[in-house]
Amino acid sequence: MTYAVPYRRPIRVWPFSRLMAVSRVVLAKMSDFVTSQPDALMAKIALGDQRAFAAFYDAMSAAVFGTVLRVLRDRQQSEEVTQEAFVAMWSAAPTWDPERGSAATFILTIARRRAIDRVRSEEARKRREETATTMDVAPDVAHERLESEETSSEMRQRLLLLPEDQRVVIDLAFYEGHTQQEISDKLGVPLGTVKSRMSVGMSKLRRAMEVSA
Amino acid sequence: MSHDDLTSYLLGELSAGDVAEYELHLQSCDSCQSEMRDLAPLLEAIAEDVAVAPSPELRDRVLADVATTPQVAPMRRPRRQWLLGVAAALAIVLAAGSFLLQQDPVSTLVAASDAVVVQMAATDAYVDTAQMQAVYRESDGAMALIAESLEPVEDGRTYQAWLIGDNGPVSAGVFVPDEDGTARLILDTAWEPGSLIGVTLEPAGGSPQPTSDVLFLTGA
Repeated sequence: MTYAVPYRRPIRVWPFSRLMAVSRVVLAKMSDFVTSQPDALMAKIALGDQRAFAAFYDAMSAAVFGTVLRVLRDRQQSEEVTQEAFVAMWSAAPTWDPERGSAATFILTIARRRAIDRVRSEEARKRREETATTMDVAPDVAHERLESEETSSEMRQRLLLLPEDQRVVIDLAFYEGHTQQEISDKLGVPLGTVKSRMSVGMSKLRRAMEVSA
Repeated sequence: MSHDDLTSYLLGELSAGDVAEYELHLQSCDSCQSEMRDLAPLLEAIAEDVAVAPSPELRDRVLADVATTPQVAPMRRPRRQWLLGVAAALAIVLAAGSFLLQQDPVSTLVAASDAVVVQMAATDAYVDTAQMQAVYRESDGAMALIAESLEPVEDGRTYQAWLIGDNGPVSAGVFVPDEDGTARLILDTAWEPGSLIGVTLEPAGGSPQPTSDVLFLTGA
């Protein structure tokens, strides 16, 4: 039992730069394969390629903006959040790991998180400003119009096949842009119930996509 | 952090601190990873379904921003099966929202707007898989350590964290992971710019100076 061995060797200097060089080459080769796929583009973006970023923006901006718009329901604010999200994604691109989900999921998750943060801080601001008055959000006409346009989409069709309780939570989250907490309040069911309906519904919907693919 | 948080994560409902924690969990949880990969096409299909083209001016603004925005240092995390002695550091400045949920001190620190999260890599002295991150806050030097899937310690032993600066290692606290191999603690030494953070295995109660090889280390 000789615990008192003196500290004898300095921290080793790992051959980090060499490893970096190797991984850069591997990444660059990978991205040469398929240049138009978001995942392949992301590998290039991670190396600072702004043209790949522009192509990624072109492929994803409508999906990202649409997702944010569902949450914020305001074009001006949604464009601001979309911009923030793409810039944040650019900045964090070197940390992106394909094992943690697709590049498309990466940007969509960042965008939705920022949209929800914006709603929350907006609500906090309003609560501070009008502590006494009850707040009523005006119904959004543009939003209703969006909804009627999509009634025939494939995904909406699949959604109709889900049990009512699962369909409702998915609809409220993804098409109405609500958080699970909001859905829980709105439906008067516990948050845990909303989460489990969401999770079951999402995996059923995922299986339905496979069947119809 | 657990499996149940995947949906909340995908729905963008986790706070900045919880996101960092969940992503850490994701690195070591194969079932979450595969579920995430499985759900990705669904999320993408729904997003396509609600897609709305933004104004063409937005593209110009985003590309102009990107041209002047630096990227975080490109780092490859060592593969889990591939425990080379690579000290990889990954610094992400977390943008904290203007609200903070009531959280434990570690999560609060992670969520601070000036918190820096640094990935720690296992050196070749550590034989198994584990994930460890150090977090420090620039404003007051507060530091925390978050670890997952850490090997249990034998009786009479403890992990010890060190802040390694110009004057050599200074103890930053001792810790023992719980049954899941998880450890979360606020370190009791203040961060100093340019230092490294390392973890060794020591006799219970800790040592004045490290007596084992460094098992985990940040890179600068």
